[in-house]
Amino acid sequence: MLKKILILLCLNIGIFNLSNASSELPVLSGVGGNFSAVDMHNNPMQMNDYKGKVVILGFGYTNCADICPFTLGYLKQLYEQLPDYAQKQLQIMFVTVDPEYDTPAHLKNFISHFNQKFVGITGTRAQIDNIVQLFKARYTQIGGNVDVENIRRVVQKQTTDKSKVRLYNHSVTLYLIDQDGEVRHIGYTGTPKAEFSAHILSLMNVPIKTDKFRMKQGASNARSTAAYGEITNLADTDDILLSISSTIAKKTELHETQIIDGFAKMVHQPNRAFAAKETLILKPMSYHVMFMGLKQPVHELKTIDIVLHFKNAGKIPVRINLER
Amino acid sequence: MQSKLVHNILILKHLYLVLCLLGLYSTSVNALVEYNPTQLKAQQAKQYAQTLNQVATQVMGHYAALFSSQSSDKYPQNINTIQIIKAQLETDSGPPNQTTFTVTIQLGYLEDQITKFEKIKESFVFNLTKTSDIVDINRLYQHPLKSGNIAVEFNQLYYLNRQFAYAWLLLLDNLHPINPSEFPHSYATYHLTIGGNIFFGDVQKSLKKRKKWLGQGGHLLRSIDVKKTAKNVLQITLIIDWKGISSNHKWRIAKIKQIINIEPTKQGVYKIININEQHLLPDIAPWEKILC
Repeated sequence: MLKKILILLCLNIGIFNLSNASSELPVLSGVGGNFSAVDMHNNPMQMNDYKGKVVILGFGYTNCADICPFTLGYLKQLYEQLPDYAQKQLQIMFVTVDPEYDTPAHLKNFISHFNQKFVGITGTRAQIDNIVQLFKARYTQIGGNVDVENIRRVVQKQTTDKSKVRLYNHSVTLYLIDQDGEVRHIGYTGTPKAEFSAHILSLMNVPIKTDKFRMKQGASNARSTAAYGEITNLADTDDILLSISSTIAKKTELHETQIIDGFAKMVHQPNRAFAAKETLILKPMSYHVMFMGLKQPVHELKTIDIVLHFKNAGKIPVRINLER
Repeated sequence: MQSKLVHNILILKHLYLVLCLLGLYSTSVNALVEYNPTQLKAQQAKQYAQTLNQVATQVMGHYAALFSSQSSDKYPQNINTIQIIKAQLETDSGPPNQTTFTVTIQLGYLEDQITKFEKIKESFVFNLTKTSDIVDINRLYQHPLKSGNIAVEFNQLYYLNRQFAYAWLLLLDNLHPINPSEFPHSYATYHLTIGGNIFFGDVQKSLKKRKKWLGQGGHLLRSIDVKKTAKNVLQITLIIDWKGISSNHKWRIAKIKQIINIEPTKQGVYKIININEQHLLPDIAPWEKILC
């Protein structure tokens, strides 16, 4: 008996220690740093201006017909998949390797095709070369100058534009930079978005933590169901859970089971206040996420995605695992 | 009945004691891990690099010495080439504070105007003190080879260069075991570039400055390239991996390129003329050098 208890205790200690293993992203020493340039609004800028924000920095140019539109499309999708609080803390930065052609106006026009919150960076050739060197990136010009009419590009060509442009090869690396301006990871358009998102979020202050979300798969003809889990307000200030949304039901709401006149009733709890550091445990006969008017049988699904809409933290996506 | 009760009380007593001990252990271990897991990782990286670099310095020095030694009865006389075929560091076996480095070599030596070859497997036993001296060398086997082909580059200079490189890494980790008079650098200049941070000074000042970024951790040699640039000047290019923590307690990795110009003295001592260090993009993704 004693032996069994000891083995269990030892196993517990082992598991506990494993769960504490750190997965901290390393700083990539000597990669990146402060630089001066000009942004797409024609304002002088420094990288240090973005301290306090997480930045994704990539290189390219507006006449690029290859990787640049894909990269910015990838970044657009990546950005839009992030929760609101993460979008607020993130700045996406596109540094041109063709500053002669990519004036602030050209960059602004190009960036507007993807996301207006992204920032394009240009400057003198010396300033761009300094940024390229700091980030250990590379670029080379391909061949001679090319007629604009012979290139394929995102920004629509003007029929009167007879100018010649340069084409470049350049690094495809996307640098993930933390709030102190230090590069913590690199990715590219082939990096799975979920993986890149996880790295971005690991650098940020998460205001709302969700945990242990689960739901029973239920009967095939069920018209409503409930999910349980834990929601914690990690912020130092109060917040309000305004609403919950999902695509699987006509209505998705936070409910609380209350005993009224001897009967258990499920009462809708809109605008549920969350005190700073408060954890709300959702469980049977208490708070739960209620799905009413299911649009498809839940038993066919393995996971369900919902979004918690907080007043301060914004949209918090949650993935619920279905249990048999 | 009573004896069973006493027996159960005894079991409970033991259980209580064990629980207390486990509680203490668990608390201390978890406190260590929770308090600063990054610091612990940095300590482990430093320890590993220290052991490896100390052992490698000694082994390289040992083989370099064989080229000029005429008195060793364990090795043939007139050795002109030594090639390490296999090497393995074993830190887990044997008594504490001891480590074993097992090496298989092929050596070529001149006897009666003919080059002959031997294959030797031997293990070096080290005492893991500050100097990590070799305490014993065990010959596991030694037999002549009917034929051999060892490139001439595996000569004494090859081993002296590597002895210098590993000792230099120990110096970078503040663990240099060699007397400074045998390893002079006091007049050397050290040009340090870490991103946008550039520093130029003597070795001591630059190393002190460098601690801001490369605080506690360990340097591991990835490659060494040596070329003669002047009559008595060797240019040694080292590619080094580093991991550890910076002064702001962040986990950090570095791929370091150092170009070191040295002047070998007649006594075989490497006098450092200057060092140029810059940090490259660490090799963490296979696509990172792709251009599109």
